[in-house]
Amino acid sequence: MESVLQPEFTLSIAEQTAGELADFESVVRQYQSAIFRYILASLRDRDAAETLTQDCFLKAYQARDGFRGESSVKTWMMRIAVNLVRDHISNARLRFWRRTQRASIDLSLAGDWLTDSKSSPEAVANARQLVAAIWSAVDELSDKQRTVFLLRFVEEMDILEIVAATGIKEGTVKVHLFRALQAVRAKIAGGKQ
Amino acid sequence: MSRHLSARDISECVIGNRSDTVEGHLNACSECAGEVARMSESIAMFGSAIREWSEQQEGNVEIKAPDPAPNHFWDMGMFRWQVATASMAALLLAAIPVHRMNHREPVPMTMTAAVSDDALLRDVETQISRSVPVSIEPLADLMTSDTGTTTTTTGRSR
Repeated sequence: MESVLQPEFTLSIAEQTAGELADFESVVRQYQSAIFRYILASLRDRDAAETLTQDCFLKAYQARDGFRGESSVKTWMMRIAVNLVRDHISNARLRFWRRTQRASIDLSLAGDWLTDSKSSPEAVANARQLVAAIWSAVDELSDKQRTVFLLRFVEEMDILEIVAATGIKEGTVKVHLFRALQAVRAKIAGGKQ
Repeated sequence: MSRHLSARDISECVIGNRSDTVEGHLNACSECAGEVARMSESIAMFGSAIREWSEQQEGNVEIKAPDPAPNHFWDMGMFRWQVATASMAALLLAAIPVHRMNHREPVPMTMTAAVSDDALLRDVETQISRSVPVSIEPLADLMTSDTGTTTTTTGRSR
């Protein structure tokens, strides 16, 4: 029995991830939501998020032969997404468009995304206000601070995964996270006053 | 305990890094514990709000897996290497006859020189042995036939 099962256990991570990438449709199904969510939260533009998510999978598909399994497929996909968002933001024309989009739709609707029917109306109102305050703080973060904040607290990636996804050093990731949390904390405190 | 946690300590706690000292302080200080809990809950709430919002936004989004059929010739993986190898082999095979044509075995200079020297010497020998110039050789033949002596055009008559 052991001898039959042994080959499965001796598969390297690279072989496992290569096998995972072979069925690319399931890769899309598995990671589509996370990639779309990260891009949407970063850009706050649904159309751009849809386009960049498609681009992300296309790039991953084209580069799949070069994937060496040094990280998980999700981290690798997220790295492509982070680069796409960075390139998108660095385009000055699109940045102008993004600001226009944000101002018109984001903050007014931020609190509506919470649907907790168990809480009292007052608690729901407080929660919405809190989420709006954090959303506003995240909006004012630098691009790198926002990236590490979203990867940590929305995608729930650990520090080393963020390092792999962003290419930023561990110490720098921690500094960005600390500053982002300070900004959020200040915003929450300001909202209560 | 008089001192509270620093902003960095609280951030570390929210990120999930808690040293034993900090953990001990949180157990003893309700104020710091409350601050860490509030921050953690607020950020967790933000995370779930974003996930829910994204889910709603994603509703109509249809991300298509890239077409496994290659759109481009060079997307064909191993096949491209086979084609490239075959092309190289064909080029090499075509190049061999051309190379041979351009590099024919040259005739040694000494041999051609020897041949031309022999011919020249034979020619000189012939010219010297003529009794009459070439132009009047036919007449000379007639004269010899009249006198009964036979000489060849190339024979010596001195």
